[in-house]
Amino acid sequence: MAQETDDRQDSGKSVFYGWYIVGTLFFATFVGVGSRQGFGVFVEAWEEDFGASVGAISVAAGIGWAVNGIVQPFFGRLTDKLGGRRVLIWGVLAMGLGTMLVAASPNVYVLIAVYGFVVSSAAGGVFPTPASSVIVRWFQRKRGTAMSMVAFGGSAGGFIMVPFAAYLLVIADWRTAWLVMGAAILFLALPLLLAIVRSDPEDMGLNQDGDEEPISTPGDGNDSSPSIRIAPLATTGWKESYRSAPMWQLSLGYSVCGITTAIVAVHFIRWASTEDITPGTAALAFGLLMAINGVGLLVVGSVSDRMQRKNLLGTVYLIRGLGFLALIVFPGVPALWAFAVIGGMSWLASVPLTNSLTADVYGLRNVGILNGLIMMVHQLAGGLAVIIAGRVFDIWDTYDPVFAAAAGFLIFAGVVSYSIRERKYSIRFQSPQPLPTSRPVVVAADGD
Amino acid sequence: MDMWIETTLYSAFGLILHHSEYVDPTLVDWIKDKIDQITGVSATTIVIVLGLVTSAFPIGVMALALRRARRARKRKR
Repeated sequence: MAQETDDRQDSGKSVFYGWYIVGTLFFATFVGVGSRQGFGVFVEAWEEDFGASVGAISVAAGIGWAVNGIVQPFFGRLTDKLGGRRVLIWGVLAMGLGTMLVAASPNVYVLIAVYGFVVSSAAGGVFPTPASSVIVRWFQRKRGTAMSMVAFGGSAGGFIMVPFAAYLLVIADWRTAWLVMGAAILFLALPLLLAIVRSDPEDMGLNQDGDEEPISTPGDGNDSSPSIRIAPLATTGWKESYRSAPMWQLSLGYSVCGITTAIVAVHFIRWASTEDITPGTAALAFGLLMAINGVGLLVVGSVSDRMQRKNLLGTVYLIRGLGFLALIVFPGVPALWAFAVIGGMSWLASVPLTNSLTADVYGLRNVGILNGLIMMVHQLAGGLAVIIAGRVFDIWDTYDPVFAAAAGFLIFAGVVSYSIRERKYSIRFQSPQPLPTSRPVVVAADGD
Repeated sequence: MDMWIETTLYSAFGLILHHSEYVDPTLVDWIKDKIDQITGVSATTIVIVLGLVTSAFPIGVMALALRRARRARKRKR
């Protein structure tokens, strides 16, 4: 109790503790996502060492991709039941140990087992579902900003950790590189999580956003008594969410997000080759896309706290659709630069918007599993789209039909997102309701 | 092997930048060549710099959190 009082007093005079959580989850995402993305760096080394084909090594990557998607609802449910702190700590621990275990793989079959199943499922215990489920509990007014900062960790992780892994491979062997990456997770991310992350502001006697009182809105005619706003579609069981439109609208939009990002990311190199784009130009365009992606993500997250998130989400999809149209309309190099700029603005911005909207609409009780389910749809749709896009290219020898379909899907996703009735369903636009007098001062803001 | 099956297998790589998928090996080579061309420093130097950047962040967050806790303790006294 003394600790709670202490934290309350402190919250008014220093940075809200939630921002320390954001910093910690940023870093957990940074090393977690970054080291996973680095997998592709080691393909040639494994080909030589194991005598395995790229196809065989791809099985590990493919399984890892599917497993990572499928476990998201499971970890989401665990986060709802046990709290994000426990899930994140065990997730990072398992991921760190699994990453180090990859270094001990004697052949491609062990690699498939360790990486495809252990590391990839453990990674699901870190990002995006558990991390985002913790963030939405700490923030409501600044939810978009906080979510985008954590998501930015994944982007920055790819930017730093992938070259880090690539150059480690130059000065050492692949086993050393995986040991170092595992050590970074275990000795940098894990202690930080242990020391700082708490599942809920209530654990420290704090309120969302660092408010003195639970979320309330002045001018409700009864300012002297505490009041709360309730997420209109907050339900006791997660399955009930599927009886309402926003869950379908968000899932549809996010599946298109998965389809379109997967198509470009996977088929980028082959497309660049067919357009006679030089490697140097492609690498520079890639860097530009990364930079714009980071800035776009942070800007969109921040702006989403000031306006209806669904409008931004719809705009993000439409902008990405323009990027795909640019790939069809312009020739090779101009198309690449146009896509880097236009696509960069929208690449990751859908993540914080979708996760924040889910929490705004459905409250906090089941937010973990709901975010996990939406994420699973994203991954599975992306995987299927990649296969179809490859087949289309093999038949027609061009990506134009694929890009045209992607643009069409994105316009559809934009319209679907715009049609979400956020003012009706989001907690942000609800009038406060008086707190029951018997209720303790600190309560969850969605009526949980 | 059918071309589309091969495409599917190979396509496990390349899903970078969005969530936690994998970088395309060819793209990594291109990027590495570009970094070498721009910086002109050794691989060891790049590893050290990136390692320091990676380590600095958690150390910084931990230091700030400790300072916050120390201040809170002082106020309590």
